[in-house]
Amino acid sequence: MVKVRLEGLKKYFDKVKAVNDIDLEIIPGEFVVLLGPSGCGKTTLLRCISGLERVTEGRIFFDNDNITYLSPKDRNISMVFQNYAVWPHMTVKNNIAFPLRIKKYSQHQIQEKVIWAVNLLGIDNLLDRYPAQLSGGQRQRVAVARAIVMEPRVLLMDEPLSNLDALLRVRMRAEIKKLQEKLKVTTIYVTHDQVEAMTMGDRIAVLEQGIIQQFGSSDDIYHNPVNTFVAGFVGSPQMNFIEVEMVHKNEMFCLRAKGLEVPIVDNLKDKVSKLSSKRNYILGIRPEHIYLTGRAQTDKVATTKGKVYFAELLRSDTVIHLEKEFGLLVIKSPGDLKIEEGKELEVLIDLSRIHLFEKDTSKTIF
Amino acid sequence: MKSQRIPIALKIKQLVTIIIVGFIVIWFLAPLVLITISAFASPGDYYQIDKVIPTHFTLNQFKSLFFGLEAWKAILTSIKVAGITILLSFIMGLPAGYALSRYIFPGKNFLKLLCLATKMFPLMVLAVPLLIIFMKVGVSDTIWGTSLAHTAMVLPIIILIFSSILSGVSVDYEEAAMIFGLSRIHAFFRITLPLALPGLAASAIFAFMMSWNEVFVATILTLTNRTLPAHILKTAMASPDYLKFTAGFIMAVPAMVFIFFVRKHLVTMWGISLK
Amino acid sequence: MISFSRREKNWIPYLLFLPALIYLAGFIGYPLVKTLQLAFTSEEGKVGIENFITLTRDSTFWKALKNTLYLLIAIVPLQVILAFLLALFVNGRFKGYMTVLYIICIPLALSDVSAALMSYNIFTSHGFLNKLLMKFGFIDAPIYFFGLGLSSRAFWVIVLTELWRATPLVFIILLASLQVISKDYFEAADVFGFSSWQKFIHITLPLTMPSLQSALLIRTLFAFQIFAVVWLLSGRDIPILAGEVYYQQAELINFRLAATYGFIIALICILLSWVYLTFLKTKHLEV
Repeated sequence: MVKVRLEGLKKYFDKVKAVNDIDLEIIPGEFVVLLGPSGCGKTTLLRCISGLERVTEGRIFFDNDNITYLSPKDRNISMVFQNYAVWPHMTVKNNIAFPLRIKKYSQHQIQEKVIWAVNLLGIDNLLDRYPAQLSGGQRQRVAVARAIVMEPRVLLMDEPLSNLDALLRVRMRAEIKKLQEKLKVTTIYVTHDQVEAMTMGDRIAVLEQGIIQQFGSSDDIYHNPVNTFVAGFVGSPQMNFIEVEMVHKNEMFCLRAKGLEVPIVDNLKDKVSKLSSKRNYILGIRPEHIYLTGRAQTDKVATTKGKVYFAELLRSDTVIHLEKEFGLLVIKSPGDLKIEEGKELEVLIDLSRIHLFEKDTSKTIF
Repeated sequence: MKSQRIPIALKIKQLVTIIIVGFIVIWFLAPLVLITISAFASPGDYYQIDKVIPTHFTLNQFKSLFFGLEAWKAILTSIKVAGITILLSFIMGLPAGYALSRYIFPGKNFLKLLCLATKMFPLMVLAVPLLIIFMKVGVSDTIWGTSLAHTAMVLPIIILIFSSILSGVSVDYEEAAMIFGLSRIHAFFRITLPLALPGLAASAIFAFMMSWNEVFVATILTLTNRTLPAHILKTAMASPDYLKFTAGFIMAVPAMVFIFFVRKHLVTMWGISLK
Repeated sequence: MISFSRREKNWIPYLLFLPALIYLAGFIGYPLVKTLQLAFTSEEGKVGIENFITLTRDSTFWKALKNTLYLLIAIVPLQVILAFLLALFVNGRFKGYMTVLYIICIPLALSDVSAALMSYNIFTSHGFLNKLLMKFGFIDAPIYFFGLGLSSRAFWVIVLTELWRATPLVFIILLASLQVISKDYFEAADVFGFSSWQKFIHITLPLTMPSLQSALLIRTLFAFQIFAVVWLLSGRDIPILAGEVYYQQAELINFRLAATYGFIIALICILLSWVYLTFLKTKHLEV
């Protein structure tokens, strides 16, 4: 178990700042997910940690060892690649044994460790096959077995599940998470899939434009996003963003857009009392925090009406797109509801779960 | 009615295909078959004007060609020259091809263009100055002189072919090996090279054939240490016809054998080398 | 533990390319300069265009240039059309097309010397063609294709030989480009009701155009380098540029004139490539 620390890490490709001044500290044995859209720099960051990419500036520490300029082979890491990179000219057994042979383990030790790894991943019946004879899921398991067999200081995973079909992905998600808990190896996992991030990561680092926007637990990321990007990237369907102005009315602060008025509840009052009413703000409401009438479990709600533009009947949930003056308001309600398109609908906004962002900086106010 | 028509149309299409294939096969194979026949035909049959297909066959022409005209020496020279050419172009071409396939660096496009340009350039033009240079250095009329010139001809093409072959081996395999404890050089030799081996073998054959077939530079650069085509060019004009045919046949044999081995790479290899 | 600085790393690709670059500079670059030097110095060592004057006064030069151009015109267009038809046919992927592909490609591996001798085998006075024609009574005496005063017949034998030998070269370039055309385009065209002809005109042709052009250029450049086939089949009866380089060098041992001929071939090739490349650039933007 090793602590990973990044200090002022930068990686430029010519003028493109793929990784732009990142500081990060990962505690020993932690499962950290780097989450972000494609092109956000998450894979580059991972490749910097692996040593496959030379950093432009900054330092990387494993515990107290500065490994910034070490070549990958000397870092004692392992990695699961997006396309598995299971060597096609070696059998499953040789693929898994190869890293051990390079590290000059004895024949006996290699045998033992390979057996241990294949049993752990349930591929003990595939030992003598070549990768070409394996399915995608099996290849994935070989890649994981190869990565854990040498007991690395840090385990890196680069979108390892993105090439699997949906069913297998769900299963592997749980398996990898359980495996990591068992091995207690410090793990850095790159993905663009928020579900993977939320379900697997002890902590999640949300990246955009080479910068870590927020680093925290899934709970933190979901409930207290630091800016509109994080708020919008995590959660499905996406959070509703509505441009509003702040009005002061009868001792009450109120957020107002055309056709919508959202009063601010008492415990959030101090946070807005100093805000200028001249500037514009962005109100954020998650679709799951808007209820249909009669379904709210709180009385601190704001009511609004609109015509149903479109209803996604997922049967387990219902996602309703409501036509409003400012655009569409998306509502997610559990259960199989009978919603007719074109009908007027009244919905309730949970006032204690709304978010407010500054429009200019996108930063969170609450 | 319609269900009956379709098979007939298909059959006509099939027939046309067969006819065209037949024509292609005859057009491309006839010269080969005919020279094979002539190579073994006895001179008597050849000079008999009413005998289209010879009936007497002999190996005498091979004997007189090999020993009387010392073709065996030329063949040996050809093989040596081709061998040295392959060796030199591989030693220099592999790292250069690797650089093009794996790194992004300023000037990369220029180097690629340079290879393309030299490939397009009529290298025969260089034979004359090369001879002068070689005469000064003292390698004129040697196997080395011809090999060095052939390497200059093969190298740009081989670099481009290698770059494409190595690009075909996913970087992931190499990077995985680097993660799991190999240096870049070792990763190349243990992972990338074995995976690229079939392609590299085909390239070696390709280089061999380029050198084996090259006649202009070889003829100009040498007087005594002639490669086979140079030797034939020099002696064929003065030899009786039946020896010419045997010579043509001997030259064609390795080509036909080799192209059989690289047939899977035909399109890629020549596609690259000619594009 | 191996640690290396960043700067060192940046040098690696250059380092890898360096041996090849030095080699090419030494064995292509330097001789090129030498050619220039030879072509522009007279026998007395004066720098000037004296060699070119000598050359242009020689009627053989003009004949050689003319013959080379004639060969070019007779061979290249026909060859490109034939190769395109062949490529289209093979790309139809009928059963056994790989074998046909292999057979078509055999001449690729043959040397021009070999090809010339095969051709000679067929067209010589005791060759298969004459024997066959006489057997069936079409002619009474053999037709002579080679020899003094018969250079126009030899010319057509050379054209045929080159067609046989080098059509596969063009064929393979075109086939390679046909093979990378996505099937989707044709399926889309099918959906929109294109006829076969329309598919050819609107999809196949524009998409293979760059390859067609480069095949045309390569063949043209090669046509200036035709040597062994002509030399073996007609000697100097049909003088050509490359043959004159050889003749001046090997028979007359006149380095300067040989280099001058070489320089002219190189110049023509460079000019052609240049014209072609500027032409291609605009084309590429359209595709």
